[in-house]
Amino acid sequence: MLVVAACSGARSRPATPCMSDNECRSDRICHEGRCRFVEEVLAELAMPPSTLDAEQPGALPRRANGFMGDAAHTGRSENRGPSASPSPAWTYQTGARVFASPVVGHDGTVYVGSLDGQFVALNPDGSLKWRYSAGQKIYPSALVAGSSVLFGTHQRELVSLSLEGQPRWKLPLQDVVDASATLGPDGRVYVVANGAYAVDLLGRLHWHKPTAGHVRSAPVIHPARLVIIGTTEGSLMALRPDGSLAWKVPLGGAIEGAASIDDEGRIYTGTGRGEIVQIDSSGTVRWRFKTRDEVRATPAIARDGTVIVGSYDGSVYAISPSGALRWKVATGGRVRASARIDADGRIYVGSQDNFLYCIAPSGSVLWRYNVGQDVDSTVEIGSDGTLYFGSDDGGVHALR
Amino acid sequence: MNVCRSQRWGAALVVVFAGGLLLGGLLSGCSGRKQVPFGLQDAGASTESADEPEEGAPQLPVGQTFGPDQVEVRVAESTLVLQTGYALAALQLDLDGSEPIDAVVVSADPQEVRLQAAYPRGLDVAARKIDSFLVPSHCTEPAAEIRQLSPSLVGVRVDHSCETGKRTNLWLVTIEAQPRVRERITVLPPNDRSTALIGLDLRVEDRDGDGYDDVVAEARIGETDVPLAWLNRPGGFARDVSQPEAALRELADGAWGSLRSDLAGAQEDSLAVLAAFVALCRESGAARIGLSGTQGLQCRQSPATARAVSVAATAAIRRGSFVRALELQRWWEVTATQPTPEERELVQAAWRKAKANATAAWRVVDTEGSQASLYFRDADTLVINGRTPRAVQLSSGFKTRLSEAEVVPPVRDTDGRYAVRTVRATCAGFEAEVGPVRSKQSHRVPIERRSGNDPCKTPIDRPASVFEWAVLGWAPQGLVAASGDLLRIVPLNSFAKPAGRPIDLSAGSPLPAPIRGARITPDGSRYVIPHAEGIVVRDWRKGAAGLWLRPTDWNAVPGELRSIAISPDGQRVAIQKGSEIRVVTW
Repeated sequence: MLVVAACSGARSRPATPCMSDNECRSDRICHEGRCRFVEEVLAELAMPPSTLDAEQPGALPRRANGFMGDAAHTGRSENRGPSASPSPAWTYQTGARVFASPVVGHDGTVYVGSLDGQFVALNPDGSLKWRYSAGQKIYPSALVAGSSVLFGTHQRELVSLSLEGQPRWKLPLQDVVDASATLGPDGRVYVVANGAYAVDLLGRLHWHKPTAGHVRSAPVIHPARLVIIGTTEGSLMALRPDGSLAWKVPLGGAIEGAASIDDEGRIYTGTGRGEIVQIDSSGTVRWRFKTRDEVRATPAIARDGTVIVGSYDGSVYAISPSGALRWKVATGGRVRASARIDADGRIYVGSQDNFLYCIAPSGSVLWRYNVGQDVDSTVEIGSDGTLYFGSDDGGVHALR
Repeated sequence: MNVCRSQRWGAALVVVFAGGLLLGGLLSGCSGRKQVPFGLQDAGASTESADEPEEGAPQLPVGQTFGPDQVEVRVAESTLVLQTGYALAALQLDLDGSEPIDAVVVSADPQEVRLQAAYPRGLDVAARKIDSFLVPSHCTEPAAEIRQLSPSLVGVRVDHSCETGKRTNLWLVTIEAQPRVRERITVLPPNDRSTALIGLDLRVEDRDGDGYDDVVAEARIGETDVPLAWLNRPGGFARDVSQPEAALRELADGAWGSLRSDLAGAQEDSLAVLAAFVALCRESGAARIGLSGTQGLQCRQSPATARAVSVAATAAIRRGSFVRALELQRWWEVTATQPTPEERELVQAAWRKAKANATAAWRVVDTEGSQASLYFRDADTLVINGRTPRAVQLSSGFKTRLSEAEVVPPVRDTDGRYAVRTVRATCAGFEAEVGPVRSKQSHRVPIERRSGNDPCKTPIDRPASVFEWAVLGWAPQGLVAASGDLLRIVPLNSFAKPAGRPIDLSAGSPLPAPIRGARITPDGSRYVIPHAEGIVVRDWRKGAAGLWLRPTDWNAVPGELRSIAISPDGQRVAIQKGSEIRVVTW
């Protein structure tokens, strides 16, 4: 009772109105017109609006949604997608290819960017909630972290918007951004361009670890507090929370997709040499599985540890944690999109043969849906089972 | 050696420099005539041809170029070891008039390019820095060439590959014991406003006929040749300020003369003048030729460009490119390109005669003696915020008086807390005055910073004109501002404070949404641009095409266009012309 009283007393202290940080005393900052302590603001930004309303005090929440669902990029979803062939619910048309994966926010809003430079928030019925114009291509998927939406653009910046589409901040970077940002357990956002950047939710840069070349693989967070990125020169790098290099392992082929991490802490990534590689947390390569063409997708990891990944050779592969082939499904085109796995283990993945596939955990194709365009965008599964994805004709599709 | 003889062939020599650069050179006269002290007008006519090479002219040496990571340069019998960077090129020549031979060396590292003189001293080589310049981080792959141009001059060219094209630096360096840079000319890569190819040919000729050789840089901007000259004066080089205006004037006058007989040709020539002005002159704000680290030549007034703008705008109107014409008219707001009354009238007459894209009809819905603010509440309801605020239902003509609380500022943020009051032209540039809806407080939000380095001599704070900047609306992302055909987003945070750099949108690219404003539809698909002679409706989705609307009896309604609004469905426009509130449909 005493604790509750103390907490509520602290929370009820009125914050001083302000227009800039200079007007705030001690180590407080001016946030949205009020002088606030940084920790307080960071906690609030990381909190989804619904939890804010409930006034749940406490440590930084880690609730975020982004590319491949979680910071380990397993691709697993708690939601159930359609087991039978779905019907189109709606399509929102943009002016250029939609490469990013749509991301569903806490209230069902769908966030996605397009190569025509627009980033849209769509209501669950497909109507436009708001549109942000970046003026340059948007490749990455959004990261919905608490009450912020973050994404990088070819304008060489990381953008943070409120859930209403108002800019919170923009962080200039030294190169274009092609990969999605990831929220770490430390409350920092990790993003890649010409190396890796660590930023907090207030837009303050904590460190930048440059790399020799451009980085296109979204950072993945390892349980051993490592941030793992792949480089186009073909190395997988593990960075410590302070940005220092823990290890670096050359894999021999450009790493275009993000790595993923299974429940045992094993790391998986594809390479330009057509291999899927398993690496342990110390950076030692455990096995390599060879496909017949480049692997640019991010490997998804089923609940039993099976690694699901498509290749430019046109097949979707299921590989056991020991590196043995469990099954493969041939599609009619290159597979650039990463797979998503629903609560029942069904796999959803697009192909450049114009189809979206639904594959059973056993490897049998349950259905395929003709989109009429290449599907390079990774599917998002909504709480009502709606599948959201983008296509090469600029469409954002909803199937249910 | 007869110095004057060598100087004479040097003056006539034209040397082809890699990449289309021509250099010739000699900078001191030997005719025995008195050197012209000031401008070109003080000089007599030149009697010598500068273009024909004299027979028997000896071949001048060309420097050695190096591959990557070269850090040692041979100078006579010794070796210069670079302390930083790597060597790009070197030319062995006698600088100090004594044995052994010396060298001029260009070296680079990722940040800087250096030019130095190297003098062998026994086994060692002493190096002396002549000059250096910094290189932007996105420029890589430097390549250099050094050529002796005359007995007294060396030309050094350094090219970098940058994001948008090639960046060239050219040094003109004297040959003497302590070499000096006479000039450094920079040609910047294309930018958003200047995309023309730029070539630069340098030669030496006695331009003012005083027997002293001057330097002429023949700049080619696209297809336009502009001879820039540096006159050899007792105090050093002085740029001939009659250029580029004289060359541009000739072309602009030609375009003006052919407007009636050859519309396409006149348009092409006038746009060429404009492109040359932008590329060369500092006043354009986008110049790409720079001298000694400065950007652009100081052209001050350019009546030739003003004339070219008038021709180009007239041609655009006659060809139905109304938005393009508006964009061109923006140049009239630049001090350097003010038109004459005759030129202004040419364009106004073209607007009056312009053939409308659609038959526009208009009808009176109300009258208002004072200036009113107009906005549509919905497709059928027009709010007239004048002396007596009211709403007019257009379908029935029914009018409802509104309380002050029922009238909202049309350009307001998502939460309805802040509104744009006006756009001001100030010494800082163009600024939107923004403030809380229910308060008199306000702050300024920069839309466009003042360009150029010229100080603002007289403080200004006036409303921006229609050809300058206007705020069309407010989206969650920030303000949507327009100037001519240019559309810009000014990102603002939830407290109406700037949140990042403004973003210029290319035609047809997606606009933020939803937008709250009187002059733009909520989805940003259409907006209106008022004009003294009619209305331009711009359809952003259809490649930003412009629709010119001018009811046939436009002039029958007295007074100026004072206010304008477009309906949310983009199907009708309300205007206040003089004291009449009218609705235009098409």
